[in-house]
Amino acid sequence: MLRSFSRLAVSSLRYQPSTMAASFHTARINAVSASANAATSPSTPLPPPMTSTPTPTPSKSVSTAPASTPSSPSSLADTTTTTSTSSSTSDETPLVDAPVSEKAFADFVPVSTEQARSLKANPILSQLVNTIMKDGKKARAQRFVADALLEIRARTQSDPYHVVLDALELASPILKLTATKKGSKVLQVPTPMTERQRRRRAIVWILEASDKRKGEKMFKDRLASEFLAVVNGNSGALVKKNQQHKMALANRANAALKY
Amino acid sequence: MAHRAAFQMTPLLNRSSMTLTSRVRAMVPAQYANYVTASAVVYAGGKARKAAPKVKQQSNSFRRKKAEDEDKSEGGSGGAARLNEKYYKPPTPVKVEEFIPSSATKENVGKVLGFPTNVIPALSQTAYPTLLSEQFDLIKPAALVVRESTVNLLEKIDASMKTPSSQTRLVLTGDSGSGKSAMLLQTVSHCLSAGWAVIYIPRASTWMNSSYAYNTVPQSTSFVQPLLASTLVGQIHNVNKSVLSKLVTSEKAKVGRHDVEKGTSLSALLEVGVKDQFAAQDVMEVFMKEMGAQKEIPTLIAVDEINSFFRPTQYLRQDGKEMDPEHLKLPKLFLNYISGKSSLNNGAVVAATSDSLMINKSEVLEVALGTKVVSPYKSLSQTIMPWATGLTAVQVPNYTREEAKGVFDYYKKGNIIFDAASEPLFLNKFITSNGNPRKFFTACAKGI
Repeated sequence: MLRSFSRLAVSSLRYQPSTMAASFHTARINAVSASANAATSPSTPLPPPMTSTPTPTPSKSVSTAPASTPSSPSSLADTTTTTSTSSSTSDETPLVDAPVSEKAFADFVPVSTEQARSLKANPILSQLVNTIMKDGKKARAQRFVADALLEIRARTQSDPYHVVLDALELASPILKLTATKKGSKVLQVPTPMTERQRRRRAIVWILEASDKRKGEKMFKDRLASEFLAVVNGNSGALVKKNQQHKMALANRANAALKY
Repeated sequence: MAHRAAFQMTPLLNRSSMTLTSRVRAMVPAQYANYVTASAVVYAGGKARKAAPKVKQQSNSFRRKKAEDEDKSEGGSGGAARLNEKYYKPPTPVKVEEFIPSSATKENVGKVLGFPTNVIPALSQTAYPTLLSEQFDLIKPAALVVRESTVNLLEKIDASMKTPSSQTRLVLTGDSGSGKSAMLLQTVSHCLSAGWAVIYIPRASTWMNSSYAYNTVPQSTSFVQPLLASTLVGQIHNVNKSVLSKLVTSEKAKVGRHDVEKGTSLSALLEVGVKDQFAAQDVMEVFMKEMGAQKEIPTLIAVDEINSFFRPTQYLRQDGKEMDPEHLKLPKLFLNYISGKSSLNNGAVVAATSDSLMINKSEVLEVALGTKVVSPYKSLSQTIMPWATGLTAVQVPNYTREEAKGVFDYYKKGNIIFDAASEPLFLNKFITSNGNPRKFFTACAKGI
């Protein structure tokens, strides 16, 4: 059993490179983490601000070029830097090659700590908004998510963003089942999912479970109740996740097969 | 061992629900939730239903729909499900000072002050304005920021304490969400603390939208709304208990089927109207006359959604046409004071327009106040226009930066802003909402 899981881990590594960003949590929910006063200190599990790579200025290239030339093999890039350094050190006339390459790419706007919960900038919240959106009605979806977050805050008096993060983490499956044919038989093979796929599956299950709530009329109330139900441990989304994990476990023998 | 006990002690359950989990649930006593959340109330009600033994369904054509209360609660049905303690916290009120008459000064502009404790029971007699109550539910206690325009308005009100009400008839106008209802609420709180008699009508549109029954008055073209009048009399009685016990009627009066002797206290007069709704209209008229005649206690008439007074109501006359507010006796009584036809010896009339419902918009009022210019060929109702003369418009602007800063700090303390509170964040919210109070609240609380 251990062997097959280690192989699964290896295969999961193969499918990693396309993820947009690394895991947005420094620690998983199940890990032992002592986060005191989560409501007042927003710092810990928020996505770290991604620093923009500084555009290479002529002065910087002076410092890096001599360091890089002895170590790396001589390439076209190195020769261009060395030529630029030679011209910049003279410091008499402006550079003949005007720095067009510096403005070729737009500046990357990081997710700053003030915008960590922004529905537009935060990757997790914007994925939630996009999954709820229908017919391109983004503003409506944003309103739903914002109202649901406020509803969670009204009921729990704590940060709704952490509640949503927890709920998504708890409801997201690790593996999905891919059907392949071996001869004439259809086999279910457990395959890994990327972070985004996992999150999406959790969101879809939570939305489906929230539609079943009959007591509450407004979508935001149902959605808020469903997030809280996941966090409290009784939701249809959790049932579906456990079912999928059981199926994956049952079919773990198929994981060893190549397809 | 626990499940054995469950097997012996379960109430009468039908065979389908004789599962272990439902037996365990049925055993758990009510009021399991430690924290008072919305769901606790809901599933407390659900537990009561579950505890009762299920009656075998009679086969008849009517089958009552039973709302599935299991789905309503996020904590789960029966109370056996626990609430995640990591997130459910008891609400902590924000420390705010009281908004007393002496605190309406220029130095306090930008400070968020709460309603005084003696004023809150009076304010709870009538509902808060709809969209403000959403904010008050979120952060306790209910508090509003002192604005520059509040200070100016309250100065005018204090000056009007000794003058007739026909000289001070103000209408708060401004953009949607700019704080007109909030300012009216502050005025009401100020006057209650200062010992005035206050008649506060938070939603005048409910008077005109035909939600109250109406009866004809014989030998006249007017109509009367008995239940509305009775409700209003009861509210005035509860709000101004201490003030009214000191005042007495100056002459004998006949209200409906009852006779009121000279010298009865005004509280007793109002109680007559509370008990008998068909006498309530007469009670209101006598009461307003008495309040207008005496000079000891100034009276404030505060009406929100005043624009519904200046357009046809949704009541229909006998010929099927919509009737004007002047044909309804209770609105007409107030229209007299609003237009200055009747006057209180000491007091003021302050009103606020509302943009909440398009159906309540009154072009006549906007033209009369000067906030809107229309083509001279536009036909405006000439029966309603005379009632809107002589009103003074008070423009309520959006937040200044100082006021917005104070509100932002209050929201931060009230735990609705979880991002790191910094100058760039505040500027972001302030600029994107243009300082509009309602949009500023939405930007801070919801992030959109």
